[in-house]
Amino acid sequence: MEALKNIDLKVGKGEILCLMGPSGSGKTTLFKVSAGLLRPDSGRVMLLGKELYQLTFGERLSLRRNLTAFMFQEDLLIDTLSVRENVELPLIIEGYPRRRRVEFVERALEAVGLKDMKTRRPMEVSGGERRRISLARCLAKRPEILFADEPTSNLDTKTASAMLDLLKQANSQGATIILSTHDPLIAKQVGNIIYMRDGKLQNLP
Amino acid sequence: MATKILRPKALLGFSLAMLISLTTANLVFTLFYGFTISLTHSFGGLGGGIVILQEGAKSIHTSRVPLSLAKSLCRLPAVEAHAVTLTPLTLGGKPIVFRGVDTLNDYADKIVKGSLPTEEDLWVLLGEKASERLGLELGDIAVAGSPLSPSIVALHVAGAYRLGDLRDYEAVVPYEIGAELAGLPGGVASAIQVDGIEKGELESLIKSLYTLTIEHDAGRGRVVVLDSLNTPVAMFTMEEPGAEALQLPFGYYTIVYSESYLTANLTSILLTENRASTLRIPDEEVFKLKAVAPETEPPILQLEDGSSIQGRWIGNAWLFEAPRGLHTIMFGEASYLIPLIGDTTFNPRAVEEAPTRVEIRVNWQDGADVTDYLISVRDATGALLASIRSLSPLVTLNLPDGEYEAEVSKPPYLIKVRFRVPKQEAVTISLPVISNPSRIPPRLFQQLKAVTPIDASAATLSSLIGLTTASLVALMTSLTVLSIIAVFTVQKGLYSSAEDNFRVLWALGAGKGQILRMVWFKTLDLNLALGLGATYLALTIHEHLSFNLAFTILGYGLQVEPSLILTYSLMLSIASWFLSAAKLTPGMDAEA
Repeated sequence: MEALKNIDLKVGKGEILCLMGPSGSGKTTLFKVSAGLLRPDSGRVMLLGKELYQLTFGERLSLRRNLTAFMFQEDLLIDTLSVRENVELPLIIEGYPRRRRVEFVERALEAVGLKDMKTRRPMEVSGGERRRISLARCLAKRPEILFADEPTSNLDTKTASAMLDLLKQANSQGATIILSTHDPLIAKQVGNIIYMRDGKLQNLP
Repeated sequence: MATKILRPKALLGFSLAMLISLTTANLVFTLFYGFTISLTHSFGGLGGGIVILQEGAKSIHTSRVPLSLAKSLCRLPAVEAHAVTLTPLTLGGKPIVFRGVDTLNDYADKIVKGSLPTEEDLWVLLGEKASERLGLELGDIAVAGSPLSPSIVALHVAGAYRLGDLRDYEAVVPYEIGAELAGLPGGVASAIQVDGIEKGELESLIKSLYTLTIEHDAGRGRVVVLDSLNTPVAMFTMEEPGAEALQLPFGYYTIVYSESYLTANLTSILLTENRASTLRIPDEEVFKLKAVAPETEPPILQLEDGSSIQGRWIGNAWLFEAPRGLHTIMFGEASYLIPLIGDTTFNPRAVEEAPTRVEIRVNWQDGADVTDYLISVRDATGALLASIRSLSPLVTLNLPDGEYEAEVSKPPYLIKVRFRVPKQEAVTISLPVISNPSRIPPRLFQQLKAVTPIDASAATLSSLIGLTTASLVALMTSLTVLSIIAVFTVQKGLYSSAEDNFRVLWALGAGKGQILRMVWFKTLDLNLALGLGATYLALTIHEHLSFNLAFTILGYGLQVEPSLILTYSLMLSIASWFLSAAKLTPGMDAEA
């Protein structure tokens, strides 16, 4: 079964792009392939001028670790770590010294409005707050490219808008943002939209 | 961070499960080591290159072998053989294996308490472990007994030894006491330890029957063949000159001529092949008898046939010339029996005027009195001092200081015993007794086998716990493998429970090396601590819960050094930790 077919997509540096389509249309697969998490059977992925799947595993891991961030649809938070520790994790992996880690974590948590919740566990916060923790984890490392897979799913309208504002803010600070959604209202707020159905990119309906 | 990534509850569960599985593995290891290695390799601590056991005997303790074989084997050049008895009994009410030994050479420089007994006495030497287990101290008196034997013996603890093997769990007694406690019939041992000969050569030697052809020129009397314990094993009557062929097993034999009370050793032979022996027993030979008596008191010699002959004065004694036979010499009113089987000097005066009174008691090996026998006593020069036909088991003589040889003749037995005066004023001479004809040589020889000490130990172990060595090794190996698998499974389980977290780390850009550094290395300390803890637990179980005693067989314990358990425990802990690294980074390269 082909998850993606004849995809030809180019995103410029500093752009914000919204990938819109129904569930099962291949958005997540396209994100994972684009972020270096899933090797495609055929085709090429160019990321920051490098052909991603021609790199060694280590080089690709390094590129992914140092330049990109991925906001997973399922959050992928570690329940036994506190909110602060979850946000700090990618910085530890990236090898930041402790002092800078503290500073970046504080700033990211402040940006998402969770500064007062940093000692809590992910299990102790709401679904919207979990999404914000997940976003804070991405923002803390200040990536050049941020892949946000359904960042507003299961969120009320107000929270979804706030989340989108945070992404736009990151974009305004220079990060390339690629996000996916199946919500037309969210897509409309982003503006730069590409539609996807059955693994193919489509023109506007 | 590592603790949280691995989940604190999972770590606690892991620690407990690891402690239990490692302790179990340590205990299984001690069992494996204790039973399979120690027991099969040195059960009963049989030394020697080869052990002779009874074919079909289920264990060393029920084996019966002829004692004469040990004496005969010692006649072979460079061969050393020792009979032992090994009997499970109780000492002070606790089970222990008694070892009856005829030499204490192995224990000479291994005494840690007391001293090596030098006198024939009711002593017991205890192995160091046995001494601790039984709670007996130097000088204590303890009663040894067995439900299988009517014998109960009170023994005094003469010392304790440390050999460093399973013999440290035994009690050592003089061979005769060991045989008594074991209820062994006379002339029978449990096993014989042999050094200085190959197994195949020994087996071939003891399994074969050899033909001993005895040619003789006598027309009367009997020929008796005695084994190395002076037990008659063959006999035939001579009616005319001829030859007799006897089938005998390997052994050192003495061929004795016997006629009425006259018994003479003709020759001795070590039978290792078919042999022929020619005996010359000339009927008409005349021997010289020199009787020491004053010239004024001429003795008279009365021959076997009733005739009398006069002696000839030769300056210091009276000289008689007479044929072979049991004659009587009369000095005034005193008369003495003289077994004349060669030139003899007889000096009854030496006995009459001597200061030391010596009692010679003659009995059968089972303690019963011997009556109606001839006893002769010779001095160091071979001169006959006394010759008496006695109807009582007790003979009393006055003897001057010196070395003597007493010879008891009760056809077909001829026993010689050396003694020294005044050191020994009471001498006991025992004649062999056949208490169980079906179990003494030579029939017993046909049921012998030569085995290595390991095989002997394996057979004994099998008889004691009902498992062969092979099945025991299989069982222990299975238990060991299972316990090791349990340790590895617990170790792997720790990382399995946190697998989702490792995927998060990978998704966030952590490589294998980083995950190992962040999590895996941090658990090394914990694993080392668990290895130490499991060692402590295993040793505590051994010490405080009497684990040793629970698996004690006949008083033998387990021999596992704490350092060995510690090494095993740490090795297992670290190996399982090391191999668990693979589980820590599952499918990282798959990019799934």
